[in-house]
Amino acid sequence: MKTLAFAWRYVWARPMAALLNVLLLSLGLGSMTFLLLVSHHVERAFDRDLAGIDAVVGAKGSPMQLILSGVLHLDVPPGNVPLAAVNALKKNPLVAQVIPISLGDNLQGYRIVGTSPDYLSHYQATLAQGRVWDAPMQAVLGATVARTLGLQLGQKFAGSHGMGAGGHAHADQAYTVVGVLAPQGGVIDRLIVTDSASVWAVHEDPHAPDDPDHHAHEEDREVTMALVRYTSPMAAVSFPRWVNTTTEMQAAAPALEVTRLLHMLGLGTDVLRAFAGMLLVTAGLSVFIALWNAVRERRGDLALLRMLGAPAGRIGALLMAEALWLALLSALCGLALGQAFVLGLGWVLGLQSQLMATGLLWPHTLWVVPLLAALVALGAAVLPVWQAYRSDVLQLLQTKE
Amino acid sequence: MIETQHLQFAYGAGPPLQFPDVRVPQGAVVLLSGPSGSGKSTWLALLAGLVQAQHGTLEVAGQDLRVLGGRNADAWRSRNIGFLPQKLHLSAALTVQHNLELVFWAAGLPVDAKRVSQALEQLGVAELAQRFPAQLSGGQAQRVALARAVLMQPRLILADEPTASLDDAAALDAVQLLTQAAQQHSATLVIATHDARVAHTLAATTAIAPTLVQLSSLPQDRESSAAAGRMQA
Repeated sequence: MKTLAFAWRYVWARPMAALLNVLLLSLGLGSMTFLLLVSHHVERAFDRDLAGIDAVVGAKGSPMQLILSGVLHLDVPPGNVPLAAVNALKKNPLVAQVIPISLGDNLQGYRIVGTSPDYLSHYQATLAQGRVWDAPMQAVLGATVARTLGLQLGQKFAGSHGMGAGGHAHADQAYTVVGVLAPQGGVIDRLIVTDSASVWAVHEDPHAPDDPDHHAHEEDREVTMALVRYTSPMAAVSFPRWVNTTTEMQAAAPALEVTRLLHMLGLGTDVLRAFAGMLLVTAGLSVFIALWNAVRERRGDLALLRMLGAPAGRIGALLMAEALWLALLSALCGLALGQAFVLGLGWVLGLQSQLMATGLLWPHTLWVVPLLAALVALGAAVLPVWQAYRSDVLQLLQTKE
Repeated sequence: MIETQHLQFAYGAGPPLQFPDVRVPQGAVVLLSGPSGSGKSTWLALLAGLVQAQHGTLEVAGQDLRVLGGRNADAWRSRNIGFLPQKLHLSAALTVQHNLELVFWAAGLPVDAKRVSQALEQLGVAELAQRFPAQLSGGQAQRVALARAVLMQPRLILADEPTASLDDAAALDAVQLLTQAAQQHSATLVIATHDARVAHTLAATTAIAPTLVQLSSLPQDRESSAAAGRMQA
């Protein structure tokens, strides 16, 4: 304990050097924290939103686009597929459940998703107010949507065309809010969920007299895609092949696509990680120089401690403790900096509604930061400690100044 | 208290330094003199158990120093040896109080705050406890360093050129304080010095005749100076 107390005093005897070292280390550790937090946020969002979905079946095109648009609701969908074809999937013995998804409209950027009540139960969504729809043009709002748009039960709203805010409004077809979901921390928080029939009703214009298929029949209707759950894991091999070869649709496996996506993102984070590593190495050098100078300046003082009976190991421990104080302060500053940066970035980019959950997170991977701080500081202390350790007390006694 | 016979120490492969045989009782004052390079610091280091002699016997305060090594020597030194270096080496980062507490830390013992304040009081510097070394005058710093040397109530106090950078008045003061402190703790005092004022002050202010140990500069001259040392002892 006394060692830590003396080390603390020695650290702050040179306040400028101590502050500079803490600053440098904090920058490196802060970048590390930022990277770890962002990748944790992204991975967590993916895990949460993809859970239980074995395959997504939709129009041919990029399988990743299918996942991004239909499950994570980040991208635009590749196109529509016939409802009849999706219903046919249910007959396949490998398929346990099919949930249709119809996209096309939004309310101030929040997507309106036409689906079946199975969608809500799949995400284990619970109602905070109201009820689930029992007829077309009734909508259940995700928690974020209800909070930011301030919509209440019974209020009416009209969707606008497209996936982002600013499309032309379907003013004549108004939805009624019948339910609000409890916050869930997932993609469903920022969706407006309704019956598939609502989306058909909005897009099949009943007032177009020249349109031969207004009041389209069931078999002509389309959905954007379907989320599929398998009966057995064995289906992962045969089902996508079956869909891709025998139908006009494609099946994409979320697990596969997300692994691919994270790999691509990984290339970007590797660069950032290397950068943060550089910062840490620089900070480590700075701590090394500071400790080295401290040992040189205090050579006589340290020799005197040996003369007073301090074993070499205790003097080594004193210097190590000085390095560890710097590490501890820097780890705290770095973690705070990283967390603040993530929150700030989420706020500035509005990402909180997309991928980032609100609030502070402490994923297990974040323990790397204090560990790294300790390693860098102790690594920087090794040579100075060794120098102090093997210093010849006798020689120092003979240096008369 | 100090008993040496045929003591020899060599740095690496260099010619061995040979030291005169010495035998002094507890409470004695030893004046160690000799030109630069004659091995004064080495002799102090041998007495402190910092280095091991290659030849001869050395007993300090009843302890055979040849059988002590490593941490045992450190522990023995922390309890038995007080040290007043020429350059005081008070830690600039620490207050006077903490500089003294550092002695307990070095010895691996819990801090005895009462003993710290007593040591400072005895040397008349109790009011400086919260100051930093940079805020002390030369004389004050000397007193603080002396307080540090006697803090553990050592049986042997080693002083290395304690008057070298002092004017006459301060040198007189320093030697008087040193002998008083040694007497107070019934400690044996070894002063390594080539300063004639030390011997004069001792002769003028104390009743005890100091034991003189004279080292010579050249290794081959050692035999004769050893004889001289024995005669004076």
